[in-house]
Amino acid sequence: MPGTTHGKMISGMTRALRCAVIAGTLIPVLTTAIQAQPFNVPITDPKVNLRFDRYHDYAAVGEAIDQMIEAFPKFLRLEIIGTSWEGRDMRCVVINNPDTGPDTAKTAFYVDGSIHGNEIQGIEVNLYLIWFLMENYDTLPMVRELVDTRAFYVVITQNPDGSQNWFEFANTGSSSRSGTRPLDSDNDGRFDEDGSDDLDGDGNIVQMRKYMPGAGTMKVSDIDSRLMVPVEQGEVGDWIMLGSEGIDNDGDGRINEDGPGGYDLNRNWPTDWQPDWIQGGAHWYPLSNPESRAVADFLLAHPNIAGAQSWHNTGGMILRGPGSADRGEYTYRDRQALDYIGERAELILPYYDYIVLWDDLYTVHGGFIDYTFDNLGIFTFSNELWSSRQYYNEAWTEESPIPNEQRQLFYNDAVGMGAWYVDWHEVDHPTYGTIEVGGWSKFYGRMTPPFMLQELCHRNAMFAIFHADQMPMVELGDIDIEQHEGNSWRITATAMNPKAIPTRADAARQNRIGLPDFFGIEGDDLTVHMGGFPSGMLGEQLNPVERRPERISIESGISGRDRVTVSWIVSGSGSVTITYESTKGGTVSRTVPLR
Amino acid sequence: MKLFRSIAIPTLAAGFLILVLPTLSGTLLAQTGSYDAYLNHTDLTARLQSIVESHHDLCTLESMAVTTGGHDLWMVTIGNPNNGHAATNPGLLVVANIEGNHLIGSMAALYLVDYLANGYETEPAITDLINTHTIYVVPRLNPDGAELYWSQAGTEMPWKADPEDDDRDGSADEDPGDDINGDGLVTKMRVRDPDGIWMVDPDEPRLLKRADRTRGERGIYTIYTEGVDDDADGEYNEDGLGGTHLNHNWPHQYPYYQDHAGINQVSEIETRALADFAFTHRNLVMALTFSPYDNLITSPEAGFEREAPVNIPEGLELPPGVSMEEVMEYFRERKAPTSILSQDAPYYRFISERFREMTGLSGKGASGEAGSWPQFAYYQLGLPSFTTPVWTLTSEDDGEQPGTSSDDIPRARIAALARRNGTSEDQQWLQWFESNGIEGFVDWTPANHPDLGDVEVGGFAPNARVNPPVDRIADLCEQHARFAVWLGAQTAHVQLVDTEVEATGPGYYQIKATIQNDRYLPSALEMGLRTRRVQPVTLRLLPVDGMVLIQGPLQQQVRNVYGSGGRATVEWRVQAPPGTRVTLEMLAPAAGGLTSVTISLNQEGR
Repeated sequence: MPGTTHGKMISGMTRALRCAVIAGTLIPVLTTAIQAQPFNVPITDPKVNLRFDRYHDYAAVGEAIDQMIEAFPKFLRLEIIGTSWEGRDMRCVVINNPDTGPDTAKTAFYVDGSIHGNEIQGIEVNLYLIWFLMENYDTLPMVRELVDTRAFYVVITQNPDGSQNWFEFANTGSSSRSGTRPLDSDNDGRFDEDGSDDLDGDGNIVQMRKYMPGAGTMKVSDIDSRLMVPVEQGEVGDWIMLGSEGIDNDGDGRINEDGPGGYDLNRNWPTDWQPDWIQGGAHWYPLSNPESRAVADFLLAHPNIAGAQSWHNTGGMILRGPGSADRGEYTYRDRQALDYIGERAELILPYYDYIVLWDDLYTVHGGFIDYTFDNLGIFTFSNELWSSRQYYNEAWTEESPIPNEQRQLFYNDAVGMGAWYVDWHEVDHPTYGTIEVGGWSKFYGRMTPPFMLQELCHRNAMFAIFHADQMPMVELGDIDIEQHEGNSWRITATAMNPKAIPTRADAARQNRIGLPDFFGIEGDDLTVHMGGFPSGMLGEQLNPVERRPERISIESGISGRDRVTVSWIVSGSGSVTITYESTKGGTVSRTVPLR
Repeated sequence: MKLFRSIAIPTLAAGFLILVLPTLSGTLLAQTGSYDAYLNHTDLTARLQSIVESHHDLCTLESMAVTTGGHDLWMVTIGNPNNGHAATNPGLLVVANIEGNHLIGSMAALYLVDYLANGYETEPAITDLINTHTIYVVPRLNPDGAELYWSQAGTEMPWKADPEDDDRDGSADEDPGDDINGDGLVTKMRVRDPDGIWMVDPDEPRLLKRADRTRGERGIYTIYTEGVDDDADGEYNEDGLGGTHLNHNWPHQYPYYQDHAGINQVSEIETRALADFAFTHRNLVMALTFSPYDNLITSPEAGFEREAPVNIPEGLELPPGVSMEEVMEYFRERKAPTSILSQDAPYYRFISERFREMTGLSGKGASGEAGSWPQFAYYQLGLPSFTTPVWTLTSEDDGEQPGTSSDDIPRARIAALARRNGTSEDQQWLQWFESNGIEGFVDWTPANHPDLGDVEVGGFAPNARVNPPVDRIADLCEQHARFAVWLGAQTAHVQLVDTEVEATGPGYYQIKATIQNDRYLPSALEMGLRTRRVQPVTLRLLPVDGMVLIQGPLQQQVRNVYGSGGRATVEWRVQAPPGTRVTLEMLAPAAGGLTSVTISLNQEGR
């Protein structure tokens, strides 16, 4: 049981204080008192006792969501944004404080995970993120401010079928990446007819080897009898490796070439989409799968989303686009915002590197982060959760007492008590006769060991929160009113964005996506003669816009940690209302008297 | 020594027949109703229903989807009434009226349905086509857009009716063109303007030309679309009616972020319905489109293609059982070609020649086909994909009957002459309007504009250059229906022509199966092989007790069988008790369907 190491006194105290908060939203004094209390992160006595040393499958995720909604009904809402191929719910948990406005009126952060069915850590981080924000709303002022000013859309998994398939059936750590919609991967007119086969029924798909004395290409390693190594040139071995556990179900001479699905939901997005023969896994056409279509429809219906994260595994990376060299580089201004966040992410996430997808990893056509950035103007990162470097505490060196080849097995024995390696053992194979199967279980390599999972969840959720906090937030600065003559005035107003992400991405402006920001003025007795941007060394001149001075279009929005100033020459009386409208940065307005 | 010959399919005659043009009777075959008017959705629906009702053994009518405008997206399926395997016969997909106002396309598609239904069992070419193929016809992919032809008759709109915010100001369709001079049409306005770049064309005073300063010419006009600045943003008619252009909504060379291209590829109910159909019907062997684009009058040219580089990561270890070739293929940096592949171009050229002979069509189609359906059908589905505008300006020049020798097409000569004389296409249109008594051009007349003051309104009438006069519909459709029947007969038909069993030792046998394609087209174009969308011909021996495979595997694939008698042979070696009976299956979903034979392993041997 986690969370029991601290004394009853503290947990008793927090419980009492929470009651005080519930009763005391009307009593700010008490709230202030609570803020001053010392606090454990994560909370040790939560309302909802979720465990983050285990992985949640589809049903368990449903239960966890239900429990959290029951505990925090005011803030949490479950939206089913679509249905997967097999008919599972595409669950989106909306985090919003209705007291401060509807979610659609706030700048929102989108997060999903497990678009690749086997990359299940994202599901845990997403549950943790919701859980953490809710459990700490009353006690951590930073949490409260974030939850009060922003909305969160948490799509727990983009690929519920693929994830469930990974949990339920025999797999490797890398299989079940696809969804489960049948696809004729080998073009023989039959669908999914030759998947892997769990010959020993242990729930893992491992490797096959056959003993062929004097006729093999492989031998047992001197370092560890579980390791197989290729023979030297001129040598003969006693073993042949026969590939992944399976049989030739369809008699075409190949093994496991047409398993469940066989497409890649993260190559199915519109931006830079390429057909399957160029970009493997692309499927038929952009958004041809119900899961990607549901997510795209949701994103398109929520232009208030300004930041996004899509969790993957593995390798310890904070990835940004572009996904292919052909896309060119982002503008300096867009890159500045991404770099600001990405460079800090490396500090939040030990063992993780902030890198560019195509340049530092591989080329992806039709990937999610290109879609959200180029097609939707959302500043997006995709983290490759978990680095295998975290197993060993440090990179392997010559001084290590364990040979490099053996260190994974050493770890399996010394830290996992043999939990993750399937020792070689005999089975019968319909084509190869008696063979042996053995190797790494699906829980090793790409998966985080359960005892390290909570830290992974916490740190990555904190990064998502950091990223979300850097979404634009428009504020109005001073409004300067200068009387010219009679009832003629020059009004100068400034809008600011104190956050790192611009209110509108250059990508959106270049691609003519969404609306520009607007800086407007209106009043009951008001004629706007001219409007534009102050120029001259002291801003004493005016560079007027050609049309619609009463609603000046700000095509680039406000850059990160920057401001935009406009002036109007008007005549009129009474008061004027000045409004800055930004789809992603929010809308703020103030009414001032003309005097 | 050949001991056993299981089947001998007569193939000789077909080889001679395929290139002979169909000689159909001179009377029009399509009989269900007349072809002297363009049809709105209600009328088109009634006509389709009437044909399908009177030929319910041959045809079905299905709604692929319901559009946002509430119209059914019709598909007529025509197939062999005696064979319930319509989906396993090679499929021909005919799509028309993708541009809402290209109504001649829907007429040609309707006519084709009519023609096929009525010609079955009376015209051998049609009977043969329907017996061996399934023909899917989408007569109007854009019913919502087509309705605009009537409801917004004054405006030329190829796209859908759904509103779109072209100028990104937060409102959609708020500043369309307007009829300033009250003639019911939205044409152009010309305004005298010292900064103008247009001048009166000295050759044709009704037309304007761009002034060329380098030739001492001076512009005096600025041109606008006819209309007022409805949303008072200083721009005229910058956000007109209508949304996505369904022929710019496809993934090949998709025009990202352009007006009327849609929010992304295949974003519309109509395009998605067609795409889903295409991907779930692996029996499709050809796409024929009636759209303003053309690749039949003028066949496409192959471009130069560089071989894609292979970048294998350093230190890559080959997984067991994986060949170096497979690895190279995996790491090849492929790029989508932008011109037809050189291996496929000759087939297009040959078919184009036949098309010109059969229809007499010349002239040119529309340009700018990036993101179009016919392109997608070739570059991504890998199908032979043909498109014809059905009607062009120069196809109307004279009354010469089509079908004469391709060397002697007067229209082509007239077009060539016109080009040499420097007659612009616009001038040719004006001449054609005159000689046909069509009011296709509105003469410039003064009008008063609320903002611009004195303007002149005039120019080409909307839709006047899109569809032929109604008295030409029947002839043009007849020619295209004849061509479609001929074209359909060119698709591959792969047959198992020979199986041999040879005893190679006691209880050891070699089995050979030979397949052959007697039609004109190969079973897969090079593009079909590349896209891997065209299914290879699969041959498999079904396992049987006591039979051990020596050389296999049981299931083997032939990626392509050339046409005009192209062959391929597949071999197995097995060990089995003499007399064992083995079933051999050939599956060619896109080239003839499923064939199954049983062969007997003979006990004689060497």
